[in-house]
Amino acid sequence: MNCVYRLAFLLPATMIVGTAQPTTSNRCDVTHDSVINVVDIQAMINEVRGIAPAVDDLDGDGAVNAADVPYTLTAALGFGCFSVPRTHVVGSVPISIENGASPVPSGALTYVIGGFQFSIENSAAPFQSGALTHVLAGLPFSLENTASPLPVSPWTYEIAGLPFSLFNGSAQPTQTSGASTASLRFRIPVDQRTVALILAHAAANASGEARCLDSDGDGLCDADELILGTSPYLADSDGDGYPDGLELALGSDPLDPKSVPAIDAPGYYVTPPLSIRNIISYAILKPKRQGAIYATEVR
Amino acid sequence: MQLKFDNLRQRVRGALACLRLALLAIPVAAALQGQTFSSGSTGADGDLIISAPGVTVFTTAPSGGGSIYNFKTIQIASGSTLKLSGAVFSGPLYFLASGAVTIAGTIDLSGQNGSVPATAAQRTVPATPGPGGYGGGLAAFGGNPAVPGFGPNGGGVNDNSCTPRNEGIGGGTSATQFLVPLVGGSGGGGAIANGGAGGGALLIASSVSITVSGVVTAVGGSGAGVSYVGSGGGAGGGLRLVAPVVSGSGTITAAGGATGFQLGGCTNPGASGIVRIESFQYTFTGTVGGTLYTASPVALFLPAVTGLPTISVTTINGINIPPNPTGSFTVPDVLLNSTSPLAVSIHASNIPLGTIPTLHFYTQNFPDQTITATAGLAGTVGSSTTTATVTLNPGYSIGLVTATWSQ
Repeated sequence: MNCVYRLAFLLPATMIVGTAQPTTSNRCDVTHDSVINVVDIQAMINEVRGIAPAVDDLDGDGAVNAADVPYTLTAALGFGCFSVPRTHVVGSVPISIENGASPVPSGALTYVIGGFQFSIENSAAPFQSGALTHVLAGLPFSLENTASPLPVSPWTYEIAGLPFSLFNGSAQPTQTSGASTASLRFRIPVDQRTVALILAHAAANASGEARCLDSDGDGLCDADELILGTSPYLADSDGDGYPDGLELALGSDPLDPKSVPAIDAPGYYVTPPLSIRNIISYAILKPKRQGAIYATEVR
Repeated sequence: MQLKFDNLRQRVRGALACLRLALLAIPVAAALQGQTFSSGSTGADGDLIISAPGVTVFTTAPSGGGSIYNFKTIQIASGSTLKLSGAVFSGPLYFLASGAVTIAGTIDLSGQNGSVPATAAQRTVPATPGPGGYGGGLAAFGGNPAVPGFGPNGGGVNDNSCTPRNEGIGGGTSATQFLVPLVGGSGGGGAIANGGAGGGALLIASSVSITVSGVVTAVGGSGAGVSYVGSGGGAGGGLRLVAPVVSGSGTITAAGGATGFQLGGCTNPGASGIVRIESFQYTFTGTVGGTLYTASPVALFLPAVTGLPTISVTTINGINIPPNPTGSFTVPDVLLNSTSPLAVSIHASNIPLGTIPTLHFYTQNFPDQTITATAGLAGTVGSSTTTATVTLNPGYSIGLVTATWSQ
C-alpha cells in the first residue's frame, strides 16, 4: 500500500544560533580557559557520560576542595551558564502522537507536541499501518503501529520529550510498503531545561565508541554534533576552513566563521640541555643543604 | 523517408542520451577530482634518500628555514634508519613531498628510555625526546628530589596511589586527534630513575602516496626502575600521515613508553600518542601503536616558517653560548670560573611578551636550582629578551630554560 506523508511543522523558525553566554562567573567555565563556549558544553557532555568527571570550585573559594560538590550539569544550569536560547538541530526526542479521530482522516492532522503545533498529512487512504521508518537528522526514527485496525488514541513513540518542530526539508517521504528514506530534520530551541535533557539523553545513549558514528569525519560523533548544533554531514559547519572537531578541541566556535582556532604549538617550550662546567674550587662553597652529598675533590 | 526520420530521431535520442551521460559524468568527474590531495611541496629540498645501512642522524635544516621540508620524494631503504632527535630539532618536523614516500627502513623519532643514574652527573641529563616531544624527569639522587617530566603534560614524581609512594608518573599528551597543532609526548616523571622521554612529532604529507613497509616510530621512552619503584614512561608522540593513498604492511607506532617499575607497585607507562592517517585510499595492513585516527585529508595547517617559538640562553657572564648546545660533559658548552652571581641573557622568538622564563640548573653533587627570570620577555614577539641572575655551583651542570604561556 502506498502512502504519502507530508509533515508540515509550525514552530517559529527564527531561533538564535550562537554561542551560549554566561550570566554568572567562571563557574560556567568548565575548562578554565577564561572563555565560556561550546568547549564547556562538550566538557559537560563528557562529564555526564562519565568520561571526564570533574570537580569545580563551586563555592568560589579559590580552591577545589571537599566543600565543593562534584561539578554537575544541574549545578551548571542552576548557575545560569546557558540561559540564552539557541537553536540546535537534534536527533531523536520522544514525542507522543494522539489521533482523536476515528476513523483516521486522510487529510491533514494537527497535533500539539511539546506545546507546539505540527501537522501530519496523510494523502493516502486508508492510513498506513505497520512500521514506517524515517531518517531524522541522520538518526533512525521509526513509527510503528502494530495494531490492526489502527488504534485511535494514544500513539506514543519514544523520541525524548522536548519541545521541537518537524519539517520536511526535502521531497515528501513516500511510503511504499515498508521503510521510507525521507530525510527529516527537527529543531529544538535550547534553553537550560532542554540542554539538561539533551545532555541526559546523550549520557544515556552515547556510551561507548560503538555508538560514535562520525559521518563527516570531523572528529565529532553525529550525536554530539546534533547536540552542539553542528552538521553531522559537513565537516566544517561554519565554512571557516577548520573541521568542527578541531574547533571544539582548540576552543573556537564551530558555528561561528569568525571564530577560528589557534593552531600554534602549545604554550610550553623547553630548551635542549646546555652543559656548563664551573671550575671554581668546591672547597670555597659551603654545603647548602643538609642531606646533600658533596664531593671532596678540589679542582 | 520514414526510416531516415526514425534514424534521425534515434540519433537525436542517442545524442540526448550522450548528453545525459555527459551531464551525469560531470559530477562524477568532479567527485573524482575531489579525491586529489596536494602536499604543497615545492621540491626545493630535493629527494630525501636514506640508503646507508644503520642509523643516519638527520641534521639538515630545511632550505626555507623553520621546520618544514619540501622534498620531491622520500625513500628510506630497508636496513636504513633515519633518526630524528630532539637533541637536534627542538620542535616538530614537517616532511612534505611532491612525489611518493616509501619507507622500507625506519624513521625513528622515539623518546629515549629513562635510566637509573649511577652517578650524579648521569642524573642531571634528561632523557632526550623525539623532535617536538619533551624530556623525561630526573631521578631523586644525592639529596636532590625527583623532577617531573618536561612538557605540557609531564608526568609527576609521586604517584600517591602507589606503595611505596615514590614512583614517577607516565607522561601525557596534549595533542588533539587532528594533531593540530603538531605536538609530541611529554616526559615521564622521575623517581629512583630518570623518566622516559616523550616521542616526537612528525607530519609526512605526499601528493602521491605513502607506503610503509618498514617502521615509523614515535614511541615514548620507557621508564626505568629498581625492584618496586621506577620512573614513568614517556608519552607517545604524534605521527600524521597524509596522502591520497596510504599502504604497506609495516609498523606505525606512537605507543607510550613502558612503566619503570620492576616488581609490583604501580604501572606508570606513558600515555599513548596519536597516529593520524588521512587518505582517500587506506590499504595499510600493518601494525599501528598508539591511538589511531583515520580520515580523509584535511588541510595541513602548517605553522608559519617564522612563527615557531624558540628560546635560548645567549650568554652567561658575557660568554657566548653556542646556538646549538651539545649538553655534553665531555666538551661543556660553556666553561666558567666564578662564585659570584652571573648575568644570564635569554633570547626568545614568537613567545608572548611578558612571559617570564624559568631557568633550571641541575648540578652534580649540589642542590638543583630553579631561577625565575628577572622580568618578562620584552621587545617584539619576533625577537625578545630578558635576563636572569644565577650563582652556579661548582662542577658540571645541565641548564634548561622553560617557558609556559597561554595561547
